[in-house]
Amino acid sequence: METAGRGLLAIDDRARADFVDGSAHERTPLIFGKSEKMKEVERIVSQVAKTDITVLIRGESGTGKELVAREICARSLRNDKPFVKVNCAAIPAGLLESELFGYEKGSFTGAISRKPGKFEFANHGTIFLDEISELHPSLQAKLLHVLQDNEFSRLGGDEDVSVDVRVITATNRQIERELQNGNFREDLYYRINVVSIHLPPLRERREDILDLSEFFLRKYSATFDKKYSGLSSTAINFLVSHDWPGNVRELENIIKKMVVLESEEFALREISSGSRISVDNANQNQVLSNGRISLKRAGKLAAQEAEKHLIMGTLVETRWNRKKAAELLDISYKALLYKIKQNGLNRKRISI
Amino acid sequence: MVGDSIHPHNEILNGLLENELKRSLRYQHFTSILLFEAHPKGAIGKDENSLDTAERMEALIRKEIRETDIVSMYNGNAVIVVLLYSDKNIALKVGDRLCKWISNYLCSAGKNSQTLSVGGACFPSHATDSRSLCQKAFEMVERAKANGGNCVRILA
Repeated sequence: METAGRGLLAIDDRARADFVDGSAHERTPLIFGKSEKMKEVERIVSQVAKTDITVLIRGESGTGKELVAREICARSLRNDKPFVKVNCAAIPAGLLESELFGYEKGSFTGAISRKPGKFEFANHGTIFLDEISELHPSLQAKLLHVLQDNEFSRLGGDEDVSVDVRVITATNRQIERELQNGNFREDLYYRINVVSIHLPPLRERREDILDLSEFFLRKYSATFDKKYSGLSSTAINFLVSHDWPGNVRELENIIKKMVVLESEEFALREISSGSRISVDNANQNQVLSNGRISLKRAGKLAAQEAEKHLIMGTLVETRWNRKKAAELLDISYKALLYKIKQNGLNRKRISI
Repeated sequence: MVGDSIHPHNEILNGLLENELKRSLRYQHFTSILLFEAHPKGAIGKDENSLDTAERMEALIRKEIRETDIVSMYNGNAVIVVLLYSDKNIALKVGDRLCKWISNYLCSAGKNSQTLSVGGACFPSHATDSRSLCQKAFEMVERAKANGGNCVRILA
């Protein structure tokens, strides 16, 4: 999807045109799926769209949180008004306040003129705050004020600006954990979490994989003007059995690659290598899903153990004289310090 | 008046304004519009010579504003000015200056003397799309007319 500025508006304009001419029913929905979980999402979206209620969208990265927000906006009464997206994690905390609320001339060095914030641009429309759990605590209080009173003041200003904005938020993190850790205000949490929509990861709705694949095939065949007959049975088996850690975004990119390269082979090879990466990550826990340790990992572990024993022995021998131990081991002093830290060695443990 | 996109002036202006609003959103700055409408002194209504008057106004305004600002006829009897990087305070100052400048010409035309009403609106403070922005400016023109003309009105 287009992500910034002009692209964002282009989508809005399209959605707006669809609704203004009264042909809303002909608009291609931004979310679809025949799985029970997606039907449930669809049902909640239909119910909340026509209201001005605040919505919190949850789900792993790549599940389509932004698309759901756009779909809510497109079905709402504010569909002909702006849809402004802000990624709270992408903007440094120090800048986010001026981005969201704007600033007055002279409020800080370089503030040569008054600047409107994203909330002003979203007036009468919808603002989508992505990665809301990353919001700095000082800004959380200001956001709470906007949500409660529909007004705020620009940075360095004393004039209250009134806005009428619908707020949709999204996060891929366990926001309750942030609450417990004290990183997220409880009052703001209850304010944004009026209705919560949970987007299931792709591995939990495998029945949608083929439909999504077909959709992306048609989309990118048209975009890149390529003829693509369809997926082979091998590719289908591969796509359905894969775990999709990157969710729909990963699937979309694989299909895009298939269309552009006009070959399933390259794309499927990429999935396989991706699986290997997952296995390597799993090795961090030293055990594969079948309960065994891979040969490669076993060799690495043995080497690490041997290295640890040698360093421990040398340190005991030199009575923890690290400079001398480094000379005996024929490594630099700095490298020895790193190894000691890496293996969690300390004097007390060795003497025992 | 507003929304009469059939008029060729409006078609072009709406396109330009829409683009400028997209640019304003992208670079996060204010954009204001000023709507100038002249009418015969003492009779607030449609002037038979409104096209001539509007053309004269357009020429006068063009001399007085920055090259980057946009001036266009609107509906055949009014002139609209798009002031880039200008919030409502700047728009009010510019509007006031232009109003005085043009009034000098329009009011000194003997029996054909005219009264000028100016209305302004600012993006995104007053509206967030071109149509609503023009609507707000038009409402402000009506307020200026109700106030007797030769003045500028912009929402606080």
